[in-house]
Amino acid sequence: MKSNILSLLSVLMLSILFAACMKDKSNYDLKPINEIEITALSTADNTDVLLNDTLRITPTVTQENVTNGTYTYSWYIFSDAFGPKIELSDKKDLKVAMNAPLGGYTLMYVVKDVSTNITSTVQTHVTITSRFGSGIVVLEEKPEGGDISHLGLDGKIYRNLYSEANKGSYIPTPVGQLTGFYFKGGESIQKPYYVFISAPGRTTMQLDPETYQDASPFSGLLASPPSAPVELSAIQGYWSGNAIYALVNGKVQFGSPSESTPSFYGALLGDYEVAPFLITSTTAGKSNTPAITANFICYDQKYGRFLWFTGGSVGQLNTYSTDMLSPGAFDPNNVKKKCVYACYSNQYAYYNWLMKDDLGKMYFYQIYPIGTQKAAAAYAEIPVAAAMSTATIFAGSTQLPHIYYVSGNNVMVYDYKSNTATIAYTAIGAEQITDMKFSVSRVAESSTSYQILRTTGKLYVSTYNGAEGKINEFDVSPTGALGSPVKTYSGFAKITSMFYKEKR
Amino acid sequence: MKTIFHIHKIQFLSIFLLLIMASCKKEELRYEDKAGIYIDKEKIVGVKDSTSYSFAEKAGTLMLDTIYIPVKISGNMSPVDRTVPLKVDESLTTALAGTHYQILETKIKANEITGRVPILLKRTADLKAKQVRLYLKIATSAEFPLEIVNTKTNSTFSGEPAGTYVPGYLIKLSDQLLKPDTWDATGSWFKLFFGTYSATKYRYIIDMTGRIVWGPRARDGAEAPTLEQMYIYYAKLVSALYEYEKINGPMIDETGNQVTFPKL
Repeated sequence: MKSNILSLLSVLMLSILFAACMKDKSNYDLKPINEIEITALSTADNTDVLLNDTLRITPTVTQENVTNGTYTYSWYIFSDAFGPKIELSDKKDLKVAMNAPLGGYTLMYVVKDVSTNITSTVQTHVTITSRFGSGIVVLEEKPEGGDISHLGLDGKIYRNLYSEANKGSYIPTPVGQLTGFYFKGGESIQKPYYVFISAPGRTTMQLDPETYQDASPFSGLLASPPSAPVELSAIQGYWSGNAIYALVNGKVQFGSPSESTPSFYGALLGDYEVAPFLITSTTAGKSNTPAITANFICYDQKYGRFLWFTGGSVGQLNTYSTDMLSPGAFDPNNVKKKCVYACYSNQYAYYNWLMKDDLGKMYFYQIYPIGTQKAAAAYAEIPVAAAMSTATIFAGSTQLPHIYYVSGNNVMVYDYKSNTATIAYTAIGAEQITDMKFSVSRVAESSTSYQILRTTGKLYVSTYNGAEGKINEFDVSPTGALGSPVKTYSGFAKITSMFYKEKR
Repeated sequence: MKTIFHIHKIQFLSIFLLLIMASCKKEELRYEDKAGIYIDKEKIVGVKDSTSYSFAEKAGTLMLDTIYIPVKISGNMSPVDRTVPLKVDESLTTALAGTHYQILETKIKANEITGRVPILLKRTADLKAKQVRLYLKIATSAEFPLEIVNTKTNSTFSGEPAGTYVPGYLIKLSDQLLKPDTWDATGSWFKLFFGTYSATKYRYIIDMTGRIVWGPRARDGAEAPTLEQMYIYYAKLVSALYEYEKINGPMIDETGNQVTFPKL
C-alpha cells in the first residue's frame, strides 16, 4: 500500500512538472483578415518625371468582403541617395508637382484600413529629370549680349533661356566660353554638373544648370581666391571622387568633393603657370604596368614642362624624374613649346597633348601617369600638310585614335597612330566653324575601360554665316569619317561655345 | 534491482523533491558598502588626469570660464542630496583660491549617481607671465566615507581593466599660448594636419588661420573646426609656409627644428 502511494505521488509530481512545460493552447476569437489590394502604380520599372511636372496616379483599391471601408492614404518618396523621406500626399489619388531634387526615387503608396489598422503597400521607381538635364548648352552672341539656348537630345530647342531667366539681362561681351563640370559629390547625384562661363578679364560666371539663372560667381567655390578677375580655364574631378582640380589664373586649385557643393582649398605649390588643360588619370580598375602614380597631369607653360601631382590635399606639383637611364619618347621636363590642346586618348591611361613651337610647327605628345621619364609614351612631329598650326578648335575622341580640329572651313581629323590628317568635313559656302564638341558620357563601362570623360558617337559642329548660327550633328563612323550632318539645327545667333550635358 | 529500488524509493523521491525545491529557492544577495565618490575620468575627453587651460586661446573679453569636473558615486544611491567633497590639494597647488579659481559647491542629487562640479577659472593679469596649478582631489566626508584610491578604465585587456586612473585632477591655468593637451591624442586632427607640435608652429597656425579656439583634438565639441575647415587651414598653412621659405628660408622653431607640415 505504502509503495503504491509513493508511486502515485511520483506520477503526480512528474505530471505537475510536465504540465509546467506544456504549450498553452488558448482559444482565440479568430477573424479573417480582409486584405487590401492595390493595383500596380506603373507598368514600367521606372517612370521619368520632369522637374515640376505633375505626377498623376489613380490606383484602384479593393478590400475583401468590404464595400465601403474607411482608409487613410500616404504617398511618399525616398531618394536612391539615401535622402530623407519626402511626403507627397494623403489623398487616394496622386496629383502632385514633383519638385524634389533631380534623381531617382522609390515612390511608396500606403493604404490603411482605419477600423482594423491593416495596411497594404505598393511601390515603384520614379526618376525626376529636367528638360535641361541632358543635351547641348549653347552660348550665343546676340546684338544685346550673350544668351543661352538648350538643344535637347530629342531635337527640341529652348531659346533665350539666360535672358528670360535673368529678367531680360544678357551675358556681358565678349561672351566667352562654356566650361562644364561633372561633380559627383553630395546627395543630388543626378545633378552632377556645374556650368560656368569664362571670358578673359572677367571673373567666371556660374549658371544654375537647370534654370540658367545667374548663380554666385565661380570664385565663391574657392577658399582662398586669387585677386580678381578669377578666371576658370578648366575643371575636372579625379575618377575615384577623392579630389577635384580647377585651373584658375594659371594655378591649379585643389579641392575635395566630400561636400555637397565643390569646394577648393587652395592652389598647388610651385613656380608654374599652367596651360588651360588638365588631365586626371585613372587606373580603370586594372593592375597597371608600370603602376599609375600620378593623379593629375598639367603643362607648365612658364617653363615648358609637364607637371604631375598626387596627394590628398594641397601640396607641391611635381616635376618628372631626371634619371635618364631609362628614357621615354621625350623629356617631360624639357618640352619648351606652347600647349594648344590636351585630351584623353583611346587608351585609358594615355593622354594626348598638342604643342606648337615658336615657328608654328605642331607636335604630338602622349603621357602615361607616372613620375619617371618613362611617362613620355609617344612623340611625333605633325606634318605641315595637316594644316594644324592655325587651329584653335579641337575635339579628341576616346573611341578612336583621332583628334578633330578646325582648319579654315574644314573639319580635319588627325590620326595620331599614323601621324596623318585628312579632311572630314567642309563647311558649306561662307559658313564659319565656331565650335565643335563630342557627345560624352561619364558612365563607367568595364567592357571598354573606365575613362574620366568618354566620348560617344556624335560630333556637333557649330557654324555661322554672318546672319544665323547652326549646329550640325554628325554620326562618327567606325573609321572616324563624318560624312554629311545627320541633322542640322538652325535659328541660333553666333554660337561661341557649346557644352554637352550627359543624361545620368 | 527491483528490491533495491523499493528499498531506496523514499530516499530517491526525497532527494528529487529537495532538488526541485532547491531550484526554486530565491537567493538573496546582501550588499552593504560604504558610500564613495570619485572623479569620473571616463567622461573626460583627451588626457584624463590633467588639462591645460589658457585664456590666450579664448576671446580677449572672456574674463571668467568654467571647467566641469564629472564625478560619480560608488555604493547605493541616496534618497537625499549629498555634497561632493571635491577639495584642493594645497601641497600640489599654486593657484590662489578666489583669485585664480573658485570651486562651486555641488550636490549629488537624491537617487542620482553622477554630478558635475563647476570650477570657475578667473583671468588675472599675472597669468600672462606664469602658469599656475590647481590640483583637485576627492576627500572623504560623512556622506562619502569610503576613500577610492584608484579607478579602473572601462576598456579591458584580456578581461581585465586596461588601465588605472589616479584619483586627482590637475588644471594648469595660464593666459599664455600652450600646447593643447590633446595635440598628440589618438585621432587628433592637430597631429594629422599639423604634425609635430612646436610653440613656433602653433603661433604660426593661429596667425595664419586666425583661429584660436580648436576644441579637444581640434575635432571634438561645438568649438572644433569641421573637416573641410581643417583642409582649408592646412592649404593656407602650406601655401603661406611655401611663400615664407621662398623669401626667408626655412622657418626654425624654438627647438632648432625646421617647421614643416605633413604631406596629406
